[in-house]
Amino acid sequence: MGRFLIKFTKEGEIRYISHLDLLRVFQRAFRRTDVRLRYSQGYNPHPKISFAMPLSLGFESRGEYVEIETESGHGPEQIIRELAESMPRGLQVLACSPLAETSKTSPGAAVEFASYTAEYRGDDAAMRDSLVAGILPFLGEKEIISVKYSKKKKKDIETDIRPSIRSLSSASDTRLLLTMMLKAGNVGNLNPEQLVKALCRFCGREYLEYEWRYRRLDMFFRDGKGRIRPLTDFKG
Amino acid sequence: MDLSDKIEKLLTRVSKPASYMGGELYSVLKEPEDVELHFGFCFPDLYEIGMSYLGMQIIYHVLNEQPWIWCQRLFAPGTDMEALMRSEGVPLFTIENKQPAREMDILGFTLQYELSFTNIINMLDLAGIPVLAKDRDDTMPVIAAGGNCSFSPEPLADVFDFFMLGDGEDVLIEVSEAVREYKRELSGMQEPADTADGLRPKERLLRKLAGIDGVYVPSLYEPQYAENGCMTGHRKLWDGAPDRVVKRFVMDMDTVSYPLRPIVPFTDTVHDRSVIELFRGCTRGCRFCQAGMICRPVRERSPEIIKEYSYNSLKNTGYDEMSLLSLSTSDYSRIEPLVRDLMQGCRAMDVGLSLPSLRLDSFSEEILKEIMGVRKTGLTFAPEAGTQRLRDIINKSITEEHIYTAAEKAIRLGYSNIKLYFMIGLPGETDEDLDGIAEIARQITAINREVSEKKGRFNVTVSVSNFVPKAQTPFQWAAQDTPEEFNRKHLYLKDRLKMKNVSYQYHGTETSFLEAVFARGDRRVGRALIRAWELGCRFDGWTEHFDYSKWLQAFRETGVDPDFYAHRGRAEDEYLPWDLIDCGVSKEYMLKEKHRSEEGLQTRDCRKGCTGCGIKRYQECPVYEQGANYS
Repeated sequence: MGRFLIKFTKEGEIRYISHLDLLRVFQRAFRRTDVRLRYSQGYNPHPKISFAMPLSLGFESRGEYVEIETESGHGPEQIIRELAESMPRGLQVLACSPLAETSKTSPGAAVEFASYTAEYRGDDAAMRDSLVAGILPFLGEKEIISVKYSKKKKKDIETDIRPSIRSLSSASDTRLLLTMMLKAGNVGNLNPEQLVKALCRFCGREYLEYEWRYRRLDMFFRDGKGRIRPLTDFKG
Repeated sequence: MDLSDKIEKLLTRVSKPASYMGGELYSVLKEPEDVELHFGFCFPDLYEIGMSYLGMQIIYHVLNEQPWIWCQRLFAPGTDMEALMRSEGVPLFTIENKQPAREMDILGFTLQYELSFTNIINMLDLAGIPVLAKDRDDTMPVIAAGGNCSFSPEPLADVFDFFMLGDGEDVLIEVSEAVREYKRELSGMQEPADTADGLRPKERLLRKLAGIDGVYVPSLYEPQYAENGCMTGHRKLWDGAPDRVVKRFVMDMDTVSYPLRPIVPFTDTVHDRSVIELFRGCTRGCRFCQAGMICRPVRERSPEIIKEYSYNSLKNTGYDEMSLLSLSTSDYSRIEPLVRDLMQGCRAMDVGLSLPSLRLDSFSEEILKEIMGVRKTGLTFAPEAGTQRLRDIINKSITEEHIYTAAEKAIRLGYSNIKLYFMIGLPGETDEDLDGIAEIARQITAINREVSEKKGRFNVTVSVSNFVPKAQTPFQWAAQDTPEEFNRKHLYLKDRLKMKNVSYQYHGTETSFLEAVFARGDRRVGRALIRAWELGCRFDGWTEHFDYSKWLQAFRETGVDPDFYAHRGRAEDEYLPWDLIDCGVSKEYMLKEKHRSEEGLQTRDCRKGCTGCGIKRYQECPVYEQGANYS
């Protein structure tokens, strides 16, 4: 019996499976173990399992989180061990920590920031210099207008994404690898792809989605003292 | 840039990218250098269809059990993916290792459905492999086929190097061994057994394959035609080729290898569940049914093995649904105790059990109740024809009483959706038989009014398909109705089924017509197939892709008259294009059955006494005590 927060990776081939498919993968993975999940009450019972924050299709991640409630009395170490044997390639359990049984906030609702890398894999040699040189003036802008099509409103929506960027830098090696910390969760959530698109436009470069590879590194929440901490420290 | 990088670049731009990525639980990775034979299992339709097919899981498992073989999977890419592959120069590739199809030693296609044939041509072309066998040299993979449509192989005879007939478990290993030897010969590792024969290695391989039981090598035969266009025979081009090719049998279902760790797809496939095969074959002898003829004799798995497999398969996969597979579930000799036990096990594991292919006349209330215990889905029955007279003609031995008693049982148990399958265009059919379909639907709604305690919704769905005469059945000589006649009958039925609580579904007549052409075609129809593909036809079984006008154009341009194949009744003494394929049931028996059908005579279920179908020329039919308990 208990509530747990599991940190895991989503890397390699499996990055192309959708949020819904991932849910099924976890349900089945648990069914292959002795860990019994708690089920919701009602007409159509489903196991108590929820992901902290969805990941875009095709993104890799080193820091995904899923919250589970169990029926069986397995401890965190046992859950890690059981799942390790049951998970498909590319999903690796990194940590499992207990959550307070009675807490009202879910880890997903607590997330405020997420960190990402964006790697350029195209063959335009000038891309790196151009974007690296553009980062500082880009961040110096008062507002950065990004246009995104809203399916709900069925039209293009302009938003200022500058307040959602906490940091943006490039790795010092020869690759073009951008590292960033962005607002995440319910308020001001920014997808790294939207930022890279805006940066490309700012630098007068063409953005082709298949030339970029994205990876989430971790998710963060703010503790009682206002400090930003990785979600593994979240206790509910 | 290597191929997997190239593929990756396409994946962000297509729908359902996971269909091309692999990496599923229990998919098999091996070191390419460690294996001697690379087998590409090709499914000529989308991933989500292919992954629901048990045959693929069996073959994948059987081949990969051999340390020297690596079997990888290939599927027909969706049209969006195909367009990108062509523009970016990405060849057809294996899901596991992202290897070009051309690097495989054997590409083995499963032939399940005539309307997937253009996908085969398309996959070969996407692989950069010449479509016609005669254009392929020793640098190309050997292209093989198996599955139901191989029992009428001529439409694809110019494409495939060889066909495998019947159960695949043993013959696949034998042909793999032959191809391994061929490879060794090609690489100079091994001297050919006889260098004095003056043959190219590929020719030597084909002759060797022709010597394996159950293998048909079409290039060793030349079809002969009469002036009226009918076939008169197959002339052997090599004396050593067998006169007839008899299908393969696997007789012991308890010892044959079975996938207890089937690949578990990430994405939602058509049937996303654990599947346990109960038995192969069918003793009923419905005269339209190809599977019922070509899969004989009945071979059951024992209940103990089925229970063990069910538990292990569920434990290994984590599925929450299980299905039992066979041609007629309720004909399993010990179905009631088995279902009772499985139900108990499934409840303990929180698993839903589904039992498809139930027959009206043999399932008991007890089983119905068992199924009801878990979830209340709809019930599906297949009376196939609307009157007793026509059911006798097709040898579907259920009576009106069976239908109504079963429907009443189901309604009393609370089922509110009943689906009925019928065929139209059956030999001997009249409009009275169509009236009979409407009458059955009407009666069932009347039963519902009478007995149902629930006032709520009730629905009878009448689903009607068009009869396609199939090779290797007693109806193989029959003419198919014309599309005009099918359409008239559909309108007729539509009119008569305008009733409360009854809905009517029917199939497109043009696809049924095409199916008929390729189900009983000779080698000449292959030209039209290739032309249709050139004109852009693929996924012909999918309404959104099917383009009938292109097919008509293809027939016109290749001088193939489709009516000759679909609408012409064959003379009883005519040589049929599949006559050199022996499915175990003899042509004499099929002819006898045709005559009995013309006289409106039923033939008994052969469990009640042998009917002399011809299987015993090759195998003893196992006998199972009906209804016996097993504990």
